[in-house]
Amino acid sequence: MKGLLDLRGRQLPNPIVALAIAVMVGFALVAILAPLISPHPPNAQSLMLRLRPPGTEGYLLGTDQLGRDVLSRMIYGARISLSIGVIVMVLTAMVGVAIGLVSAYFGGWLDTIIMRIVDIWLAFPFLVLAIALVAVLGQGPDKIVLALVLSSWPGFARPVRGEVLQLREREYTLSARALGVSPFGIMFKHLLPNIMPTILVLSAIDLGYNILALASLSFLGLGMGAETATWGGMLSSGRNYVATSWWLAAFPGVAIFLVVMSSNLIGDWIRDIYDPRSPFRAARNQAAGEARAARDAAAEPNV
Amino acid sequence: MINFVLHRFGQTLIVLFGVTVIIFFVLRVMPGDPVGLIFGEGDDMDLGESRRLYEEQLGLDQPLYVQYAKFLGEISRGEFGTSFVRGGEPVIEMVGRALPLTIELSVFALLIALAISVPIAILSALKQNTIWDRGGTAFALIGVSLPSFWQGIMLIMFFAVWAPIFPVSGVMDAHLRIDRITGAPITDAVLTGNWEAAWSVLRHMVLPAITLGTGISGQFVRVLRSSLLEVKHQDFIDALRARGISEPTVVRHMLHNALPTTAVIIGLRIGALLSGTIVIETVFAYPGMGFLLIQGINARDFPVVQGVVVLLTAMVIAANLLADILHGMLDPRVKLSGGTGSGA
Repeated sequence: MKGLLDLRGRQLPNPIVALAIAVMVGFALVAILAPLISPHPPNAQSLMLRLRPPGTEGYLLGTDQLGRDVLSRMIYGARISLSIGVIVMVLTAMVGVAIGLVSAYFGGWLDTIIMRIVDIWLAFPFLVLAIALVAVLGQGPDKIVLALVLSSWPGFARPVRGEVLQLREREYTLSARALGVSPFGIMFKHLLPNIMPTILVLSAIDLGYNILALASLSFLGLGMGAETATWGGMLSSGRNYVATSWWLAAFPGVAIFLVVMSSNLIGDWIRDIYDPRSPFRAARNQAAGEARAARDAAAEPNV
Repeated sequence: MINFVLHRFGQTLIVLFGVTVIIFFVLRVMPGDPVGLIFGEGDDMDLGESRRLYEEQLGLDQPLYVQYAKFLGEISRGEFGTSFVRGGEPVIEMVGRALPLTIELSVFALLIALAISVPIAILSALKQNTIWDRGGTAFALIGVSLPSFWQGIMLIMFFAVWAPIFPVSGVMDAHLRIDRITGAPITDAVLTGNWEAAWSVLRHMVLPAITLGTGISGQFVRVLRSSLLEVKHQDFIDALRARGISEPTVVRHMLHNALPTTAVIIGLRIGALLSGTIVIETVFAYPGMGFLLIQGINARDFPVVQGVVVLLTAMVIAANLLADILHGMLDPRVKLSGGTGSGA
């Protein structure tokens, strides 16, 4: 498995992908360094400087209806978006991969039951389920994370299971079993490294969806509470001033768009590097595969 | 074919059952204390008596399986209770007003999505690896990455504020009335010959429908393009060309073969479309299902939330079933594989 995660020598990123990676790294740095680079505290109000346009002295991207600096709020918003996006991605991957692995490895009735549950889960419109969960769980970062993980784990479980089903019958798995390696040893030492590419691709794309979903929830007022600076929340209040203060809604949207598009580009790139015929590739020529791929595509939340 | 349909029907019933269990647990059990949620905790007023009445009304004093059976019976009869907020209006009536609006908006958005995505996908696939293809792929990427609510706000800014061509929000101009037949405004206006109202509704629907439509057209372009590419390299296409068949006819044959996958994708994207309407309806203050859901959540109007979630999910499941059956009818290979469950 040496070098599986080593991207060098496989395919260098084309300029657009390189740009996407740069954008992601840039946003990550902004998120980490927020307190250092933010020109103002995110919630510092200045009633004298309400709704100032971009370019106002000391307020590069203008101020909002309470006189808060739009740039500073966006910088702190990056923190929330990226950290929640990454946490949800990691947790979803862990839960989904574990379930998919176990389901495929043990097979039989366990597999049937788990896959039925996955079917049921995927029948929900992603955002409707997430909204319902947030509605009962309440606001706050931990609850958002829980709601998003709960509504998106099947997106990992199903493709992982499909892949493990094939690897399960390979010689190295069979010989490991013959040598008496425990089921969990086989799953985590032998199968997991081999499905890493799938997990990486799913994760990269999942990150974008998480950030988009978080923004949607915040936009709907179901996110982090009104005080916290979130891109979705800024957009939501910006909507009310769209006739007079375009910058309030315009800039946070650009940030969301850039991050989501970059993570999609990076995901597509990793997929092309590893396996152009991986199971979640949209259209396959097998009829049965088409419907399945279609359903996987449908499992992608579109918010 | 009959077998296939029955098989899919059986699967759908299982899914439907599972979905009701999840909704029941999420909305009825998880909050722990839905009644407390309604009354607000730490309330100074003595609400003991009305609390008890509410608990009794919701059947919270009974064991879980009894509650679930009751819940199942109610929703299968379309009884979603009455709104906590709007003077006890039956939820089914509120939903009955909102649903046709959402359906009409979704259909409009779907038409826009097809009108955009089919030509782009054909151009992209036929001229693979050219600048046209790059453009098509870039469009698809932007389509799936653009936050729809932001796009909606930007459209409002450009086409309602800076260049006031379209109205910002609502269903139609305030002074107009439409006689209700189906509840779907354009349909009713056309049926009653009320052209002024029809025009007004259409104008109100343009911006939200474009927002929704461009969002899902990104997905459509991706899928249709790759299924066209699959077909493009098959022998029968070369054979058609070798026989000197005109290019438009060849493209028609390609489309015919790419259709089943696309039909399924459209069916399966209904869920995304409806998810999208929740956000878009909020942006444009369009009083459909999504608007109702968000209002219900903000007002803690629990029966409304439940009714909307149940109905939206049921619609998605029905659309998925239809898509699968349609797929089976369009593509004879599907039947052989005996259904399209969660297969390997």
